[in-house]
Amino acid sequence: MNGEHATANVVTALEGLRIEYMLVGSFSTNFYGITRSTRDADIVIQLNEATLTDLQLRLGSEFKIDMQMSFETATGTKRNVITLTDSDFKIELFRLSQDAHDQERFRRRKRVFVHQLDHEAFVPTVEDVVVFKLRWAVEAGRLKDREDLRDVIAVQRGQLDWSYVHRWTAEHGTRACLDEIVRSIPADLLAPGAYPMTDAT
Amino acid sequence: MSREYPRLESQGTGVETRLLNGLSTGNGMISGETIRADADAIYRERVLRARNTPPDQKMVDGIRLFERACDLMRDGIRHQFPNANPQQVEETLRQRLDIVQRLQDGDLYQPCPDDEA
Repeated sequence: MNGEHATANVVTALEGLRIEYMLVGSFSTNFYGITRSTRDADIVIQLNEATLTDLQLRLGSEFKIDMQMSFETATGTKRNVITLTDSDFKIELFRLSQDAHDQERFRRRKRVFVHQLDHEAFVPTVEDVVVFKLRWAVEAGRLKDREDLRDVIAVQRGQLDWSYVHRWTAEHGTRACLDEIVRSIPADLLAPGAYPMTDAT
Repeated sequence: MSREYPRLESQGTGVETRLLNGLSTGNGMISGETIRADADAIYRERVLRARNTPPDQKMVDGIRLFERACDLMRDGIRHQFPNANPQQVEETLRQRLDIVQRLQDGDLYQPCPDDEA
């Protein structure tokens, strides 16, 4: 089973169990930015009365859910990893946390049709991708998060709801990082006046 | 069965030609300004291509790029270990992918205590 089919199967299983979800991570940055290789599909889930055991039963023996949770140290989010018996592709299920932005990102998610998966799926808005990735860029210090952010903003011509983004960057203390990333984008790739720099506001 | 991979070839920014000209003439030095201009030109090309690709296509292309990278890595492992059987190739591939993952993530993920799992 390849990664596309695996992702489609997990999304179908989550919907079958009425578990709310959205595709995040590189799936969402690829959606809004420039494609980069990805080994895993990151999915935020909000568990209802259904359990991971129910999900395992629905997915079948080609999937193996590691019931041992881990947490990521940048935001404290907990996750379970699903591996495939015949592929190195992985699916990571992140629990929806109580963090204020995590909650709002989930509320604002939108449904899109993915032709290649022949399936509809939920993804975060582009503004929430930027807010979330900024946090990772600052707190986890990963270069790829900065690169993803630059790509998303450039591909979107800088035309985002910046007042929404800046509300969160003020709360997270990530505005300076955002300004720096925007400055690194060749000016002609941004719509004129698309981004209000800190010193211009 | 042949797989369909995302296109990777250059759409022609002329950067390669400028670099070759820079290296084959003068003192072989390329100025920082030229490098910056060429880096911007390459980036511009990537952004414009992304704008012209359907978003859902880009989403799935990420998976296909990974699968292509795995195929290339398998070829490299077979070349390095000509006597490896398919199972050994897959095991070596998985080990190498895990190393890359650890380098990227460091100690970002920690096991939850059992009572939280």
